[in-house]
Amino acid sequence: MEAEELKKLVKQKDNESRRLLFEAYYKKTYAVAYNILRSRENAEDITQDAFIKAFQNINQLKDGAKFGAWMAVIASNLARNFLKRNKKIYYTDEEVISSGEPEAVDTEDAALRSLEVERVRQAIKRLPPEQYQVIVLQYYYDLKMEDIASMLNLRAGTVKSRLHRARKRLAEELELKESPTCLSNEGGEWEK
Amino acid sequence: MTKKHNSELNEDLLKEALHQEMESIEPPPAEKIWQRIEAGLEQEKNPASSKLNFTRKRSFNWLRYSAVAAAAFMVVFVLNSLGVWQWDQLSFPVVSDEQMDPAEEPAVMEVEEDEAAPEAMLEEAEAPERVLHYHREEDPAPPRWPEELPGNFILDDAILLTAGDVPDYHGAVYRRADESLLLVKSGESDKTIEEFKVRLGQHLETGIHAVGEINGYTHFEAEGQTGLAWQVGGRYYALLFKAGTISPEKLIKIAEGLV
Repeated sequence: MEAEELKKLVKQKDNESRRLLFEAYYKKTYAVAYNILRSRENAEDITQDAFIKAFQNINQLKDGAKFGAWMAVIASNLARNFLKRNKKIYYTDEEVISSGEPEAVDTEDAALRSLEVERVRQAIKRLPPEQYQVIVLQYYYDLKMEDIASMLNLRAGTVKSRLHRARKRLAEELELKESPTCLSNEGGEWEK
Repeated sequence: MTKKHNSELNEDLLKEALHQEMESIEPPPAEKIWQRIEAGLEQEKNPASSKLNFTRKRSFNWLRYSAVAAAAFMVVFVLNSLGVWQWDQLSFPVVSDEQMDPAEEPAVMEVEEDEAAPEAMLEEAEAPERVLHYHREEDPAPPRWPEELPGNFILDDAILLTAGDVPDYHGAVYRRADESLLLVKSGESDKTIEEFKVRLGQHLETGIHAVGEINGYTHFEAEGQTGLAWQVGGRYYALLFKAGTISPEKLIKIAEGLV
């Protein structure tokens, strides 16, 4: 959905606009909740609550173009709070049903790339919720550091630190080298 | 099987993986969820509405706790009417915050929590530092803190503790549900554990009260919270609960997993 159309829908606040916003971001919001909770039933409840909260407080969203990222923040915070209330740790070992099998490929390079992407996907699933949250906001919703900090009500330094730890953890788990472009002036260097 | 890869973890790879992941998850039919959302929004407008499907779990909690409260009231009323128990003899135990087990907090709190606006929810995700207070800054170059401590405490933040507004000790905050632990690493200048304890007290803005030695660890208390200090490789470390309660023995098990 285009940014201008999103802004318009967010401003309108009628049932039809809400329905369109829901349809545009339902799947993504559910995916964020599910990736933290690893339970279809709980992810369903959290997704529902997240949309209700969002529509009730939509006046607080200053930039309608960021509706998707805002939904991801609300859903991931609700999911984290759910885990806290229920004294659960995030799941890392559940077999996840996924339809995202590597696609058929023509060349060896493409096959390797496809396998690599699949490995990164699996590693992302094992991130702690607070690290998964910032990774999604930066690399899926393309938010700037300041926007992430503002949405999460954190200081930019905390966001940088979480991003750094998340990438470090992914790189170590996957035994991949960290790209300098990926780490561009964000986070601190870890002590050797 | 582990195999060293030559590839880089770059932005493109992360983006592609995230997009594939988001697309791969199949949610339940949208129509069912939309109807529940509409019902929820409708109930917000008309609290007396009978459309209660979307709050089925919370409604159950309210009913359950209302029933418990009504039953308790009836018992007291009957006892009082029999002259067994006078109202002015009623007294309730005083439980301090430190003593209260978060797991025993009434579930009605969950309902109030859920009524919070998104901003409040965002703040709530960062659990308030209830017991130990200290000045801190973001740590631009944190040590290599473990991602997880024994007992499922997950690394949540890397900080610099400041003393007299001067950044000094490195610290790491670990969380497990409502509990949080603070792991502190000393600077190079501390020569003895006594010096470390004194400076740690300055960082935490509270007195450090030595309790004794357990299994080679210095057991201390700060603001009533249990703490341990020990030395490794010329640096001193301290581990203490900043929210929640724990026995020294359990804290030692966590510390032993670190060393």
